[in-house]
Amino acid sequence: MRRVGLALVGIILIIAIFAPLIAPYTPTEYVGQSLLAPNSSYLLGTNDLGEDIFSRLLYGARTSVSIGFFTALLATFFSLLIGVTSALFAGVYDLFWMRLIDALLAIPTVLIIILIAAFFRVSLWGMIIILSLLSWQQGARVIRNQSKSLLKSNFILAAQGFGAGKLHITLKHLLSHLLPLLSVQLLMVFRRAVFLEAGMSFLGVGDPSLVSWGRMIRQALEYIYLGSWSWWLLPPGVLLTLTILGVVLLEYGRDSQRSI
Amino acid sequence: MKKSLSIILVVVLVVGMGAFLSGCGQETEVEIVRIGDENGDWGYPTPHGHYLRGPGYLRMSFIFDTLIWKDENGFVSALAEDWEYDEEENCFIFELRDDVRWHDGEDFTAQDVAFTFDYLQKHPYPWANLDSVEKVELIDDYQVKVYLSQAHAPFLERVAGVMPILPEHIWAEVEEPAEFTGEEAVVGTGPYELLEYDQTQGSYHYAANQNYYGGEPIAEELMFVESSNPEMALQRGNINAAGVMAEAIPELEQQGFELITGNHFWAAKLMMNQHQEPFDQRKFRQALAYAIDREELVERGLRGYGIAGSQGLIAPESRWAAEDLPEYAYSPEKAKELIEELGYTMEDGIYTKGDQRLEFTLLSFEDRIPEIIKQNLAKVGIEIELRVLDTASLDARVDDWDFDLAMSGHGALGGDPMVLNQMILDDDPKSVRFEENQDLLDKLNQQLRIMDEDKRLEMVKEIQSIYAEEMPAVTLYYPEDYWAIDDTIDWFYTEGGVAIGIPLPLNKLSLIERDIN
Repeated sequence: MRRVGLALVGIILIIAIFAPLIAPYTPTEYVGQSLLAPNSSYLLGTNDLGEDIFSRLLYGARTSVSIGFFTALLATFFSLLIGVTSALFAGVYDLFWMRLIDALLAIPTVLIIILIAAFFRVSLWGMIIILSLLSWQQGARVIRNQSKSLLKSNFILAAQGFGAGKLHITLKHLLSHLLPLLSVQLLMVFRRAVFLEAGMSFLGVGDPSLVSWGRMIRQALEYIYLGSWSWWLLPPGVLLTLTILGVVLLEYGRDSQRSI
Repeated sequence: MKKSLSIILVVVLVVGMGAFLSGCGQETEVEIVRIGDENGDWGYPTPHGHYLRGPGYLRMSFIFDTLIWKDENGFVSALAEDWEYDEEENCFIFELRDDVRWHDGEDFTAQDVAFTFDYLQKHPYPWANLDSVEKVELIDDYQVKVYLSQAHAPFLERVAGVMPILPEHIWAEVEEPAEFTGEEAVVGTGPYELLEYDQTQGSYHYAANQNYYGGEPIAEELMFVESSNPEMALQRGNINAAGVMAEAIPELEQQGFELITGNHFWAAKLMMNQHQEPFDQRKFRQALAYAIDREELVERGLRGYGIAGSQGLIAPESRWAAEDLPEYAYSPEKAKELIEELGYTMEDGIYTKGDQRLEFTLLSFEDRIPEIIKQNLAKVGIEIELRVLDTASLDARVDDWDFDLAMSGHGALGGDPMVLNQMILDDDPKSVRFEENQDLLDKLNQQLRIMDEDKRLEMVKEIQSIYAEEMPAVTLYYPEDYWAIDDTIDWFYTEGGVAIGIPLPLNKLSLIERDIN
């Protein structure tokens, strides 16, 4: 399972990183007649603006992966920061964050993104920041609970007995024990971010000039009566599914490993 | 007790069955015509309620009639049977029909016409400018004289043919026309009565006015429904007519739809916020015109289905179009030259002057063409960020001058050249609202007063060449407009466009068994 997941994610990563080398054209280049069916020079034909669909597909991986990767990094950092400090300082500080998390979890994410996008320009980085701000809550709560129980364990009590400060305990002891949790967290946020970005682009929210799978699906739908779905609509859908499936399998692999 | 209950039940069943059967009898005559629309909502179908866009006016026009109307050949009578211009007195005399009733059964009289002029002067309706009307005089119950303060060439096309006549017995009490909704608000004399308007669904539902004076409505019911993919909806038989993409033509034709197309009387424009640097500089605006490859927009963006914009705004095929206008043929070099003359220098691929970098947001109602504009402008050191908005939000932002660049558009380019006054001076988001050039202002003002058509044409041509020189907005392209219709209704394109020149085939006369003329 884990291997399949690793392979899938690996392939997508390679596509994303080496897109400029693999892609025959730049994704926004006018390469020829629009709405061509697949042929030897345009593997997946061209879209309504005469851009090469295959190249756009490869570059779309870049958008998905970078949004997933940076959102996961940023959101997990927030989770860690808030989770660990809540466990350490406890009291009103802890109460404040936990209630805030409750409140934030109750608000539907998609709605917030659409609202923000209605008032502000949402670039690639803007999308990453919004998604991060909406993805740290669950992780923070899990990390806080885990840290709380770790803080009661003997080795930390012992360290405290020897006069270790909060910073020392966090860096030396807590972090290393939180690592498995963090990696699950990273994968979960990654998967969610990739999915949300595709969904938002499909709805037409965000930067219209971003080359993204969700947006490709949206554009392909407009021309669906031309019979172009099999080379324009299907490929981004399949790649999106494979990416998310790959990450899910990785997560599953981690879980089953741990339970053994 | 039980017995009486069963008797009641039987009676109810029999009566119900009877009603059902008689309903079935009518059913054979009932015919619903459904029209698909990608936007859906165009506002409440009253004069002050509809969005100031062609489709909004059309939805209102099925309910409210005007004094005169247009068909595929030109003016036809509507509420006024006959009309003439008295040059000596500078007034129009309208002979009204005496067989017209409002939807609520009241008689329509000249009083209503006089009232409407009066009411719309107090509560202006932007599409019928009444500044030129001095007074309205009733001669008898079915005759009115409209005196003009000065000669006004577009009066018939832009006032008599556009202004919806309102019932005095309802509107006399209405102080806030834009807020007025409900059954009474949609009482008109038109061929259709409003059954339901649903803003969230973007749907309009009408029933035929069987007493329509102009002939019997062909369809018992008329519906406008929101349809994000009209090509599919047509193929599935969910709608009877809709504007479609040119690519779909062969397939739709094969399935028996008739494809009709009109003239290029709708233009897409790149609006610039002239209240803000650097768009307040004519040179910069001209630079944008050189920088945007309008041929590419048509070839690539419209896939050839359209023609590139003429900088005089009026479409080249209109009889009012000027020839010999400055062309601003695509030339990134020329654009760069102009930008550099304004003191900008290239830094990291973007032109900069002091702390001002040429980075702008481009608002648009769609994302494909602006994408090409973005690429064009990147070549001349201007960076663009795109934002796609719905038409209503886009218009609102442009109206508030809350934008840098905006891609917008409008029709009415086939009708009276008064469209130039509206699109240059009017306080309307489709207008460039450009008042910098006094000569242009004077000429716009004068052209409305010239009753002689040839002399007026000269003036209109001069206006276009000043407009092209000043470049308050770049006219991008005129798209080809295709409508697929099935065999229920014979929709047609109106001469010069419906009312003020709406280039859509949805003329209410298409729905009438015509015996008007």
